[in-house]
Amino acid sequence: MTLAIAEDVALPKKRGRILSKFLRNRGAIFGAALVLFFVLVAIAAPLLATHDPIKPSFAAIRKAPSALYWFGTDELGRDVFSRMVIGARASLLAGVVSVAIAVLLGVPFGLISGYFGGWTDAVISRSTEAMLAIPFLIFAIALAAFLGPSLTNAMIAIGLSAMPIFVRLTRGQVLTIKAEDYVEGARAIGLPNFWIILRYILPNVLPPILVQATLTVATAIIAEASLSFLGLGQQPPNPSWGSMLNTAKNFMTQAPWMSIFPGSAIFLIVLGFNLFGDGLRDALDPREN
Amino acid sequence: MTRTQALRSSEDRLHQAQGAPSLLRVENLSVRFDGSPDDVNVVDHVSFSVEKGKTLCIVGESGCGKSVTALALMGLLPTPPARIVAGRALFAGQDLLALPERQRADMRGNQTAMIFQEPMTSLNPVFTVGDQITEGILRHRAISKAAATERALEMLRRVRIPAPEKRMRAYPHELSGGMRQRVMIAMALANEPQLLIADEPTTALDVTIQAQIIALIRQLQAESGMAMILITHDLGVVAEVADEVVVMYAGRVVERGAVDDIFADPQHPYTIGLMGSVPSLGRRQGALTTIPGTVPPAELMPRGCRFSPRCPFADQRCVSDPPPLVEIAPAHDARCWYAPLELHREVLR
Repeated sequence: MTLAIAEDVALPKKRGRILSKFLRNRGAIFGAALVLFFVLVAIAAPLLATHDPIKPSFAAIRKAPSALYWFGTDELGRDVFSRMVIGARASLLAGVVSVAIAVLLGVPFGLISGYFGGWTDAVISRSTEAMLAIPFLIFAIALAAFLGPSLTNAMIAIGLSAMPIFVRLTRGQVLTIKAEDYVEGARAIGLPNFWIILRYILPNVLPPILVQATLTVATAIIAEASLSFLGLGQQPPNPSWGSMLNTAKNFMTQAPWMSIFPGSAIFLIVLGFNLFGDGLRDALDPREN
Repeated sequence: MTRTQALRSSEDRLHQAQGAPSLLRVENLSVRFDGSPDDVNVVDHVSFSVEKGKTLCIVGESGCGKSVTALALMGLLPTPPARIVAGRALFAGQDLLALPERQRADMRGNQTAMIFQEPMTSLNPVFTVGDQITEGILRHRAISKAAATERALEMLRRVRIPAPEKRMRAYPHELSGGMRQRVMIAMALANEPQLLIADEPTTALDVTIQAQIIALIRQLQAESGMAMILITHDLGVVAEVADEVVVMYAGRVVERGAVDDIFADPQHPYTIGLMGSVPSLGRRQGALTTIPGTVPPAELMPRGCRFSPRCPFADQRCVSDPPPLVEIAPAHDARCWYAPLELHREVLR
């Protein structure tokens, strides 16, 4: 019997390891597929829409799903399917843009707060805690009401409300990474603080932020739906899943399709982002290798 | 020799003009941590000097202030809680401790460089080895990226890394501990520092690699003529590379001298204990010596000699009065009431 011993076995590349671990997680694959599906729908929305999503048709009020109106029609005779397909854009946009706002504001504050400490940290941390003391949705509603009802303002409101989560998460991560030997090494070769934060701290705190961002997209989509449901988000006649639910609630018994389809869509996309985020978290977790 | 002559303060001697001007002269460096008792400094009036091309070894067990001294000299002490409360560190005529942070940062990795103990965690995991060496070069030299990359490659060659072109593109996790320490050395020496501080550079490596790394550092030092402060608790390494030795205990210098003097004629009970606790090859004569106990924590630090609780020769005076650092032979100082020991046979019993 011969034993082949590979000398110099190269370590598997870190990226390859993370990817293969992610691909072995079925829930994560399903989540990623759902997210991808909705993203494609949102992109191809004008091609997929079978009717004009805005134009009322008084000949077709509250029609049940049929070959012509796949998901039925609403109280103004507009095609629910077309409105949902176009509304996917508002929902996804709200999810992604508001999280982008939260990350772009929250991460720098967290970096500064964690890295420099002292009174800067005290000011940022206390403000963050004050914001976190207010429930997320309540804070978003208050901000949206203050800024005035529109989709853009809703996104800003959601982004600002989600920001403290990122400040706190980033700060915590920075405190760990700051104590790493390679940060001291960077200081020992004379690199300036700004450079150390950008090249040594930020890339190493990014994985948990990425996971949190994915999970927060789901929360932001629900928040947008909630704000639109309350009339603070997407304004009529433009469709969004939340505002569709808002009108559908009046016809729950007569026209259940008006609420079932947008409701299911919200459920599925939130499920998708959550599964995707969980899978990402597990794949990036070094302890489980 | 009278007692008075022997007691002539060695700090005075340090101030006297010496043959070659020192590259670095540390005078009365004292560092305190916030929260520890007022009179207990983690580094207490430490003085030593290093000449160009020479190696000074700082020896002592964990927690004796070796690393704090090194970090203070590099300007890397975490402040707070650490605070430099006294002292000067004259480097090429400038007091390092008085320089503003910006100027210190300009010196770090340039005129002064440092190698750390843990090569496994001292490299940024998200960038390639080549990027990191290049970065240090670009920080201090006004040269093009391509020239810096070329310089980084040359450094990898100089630290004997096989296939350096390939290693330039490697991430830290793809290298072994010994290779990473070579990379750290390449980074530290890339800008040709005049002073290298190596803080236990071989502690985390296995024995065969230790010898290689020490040999490499010695050779690079011989090539460049830089001065080196080597912090270690490995007396084998000290015997091999040191010109001068400073033995520290609980933040104070307890003995200081040329390497041959320290090994041939150790005078402080702590140094003697250290020498006796080194295992050697060949037939062992009797059990290895151990020094009982541990370094006392700051709040229990004795007022007199800090080694007195563990010293076999300690008496009432040792507990109550701190002994001065006295010159017991030319360029050989010890901080003990009973040094030189052969003149105090009564304590040897």
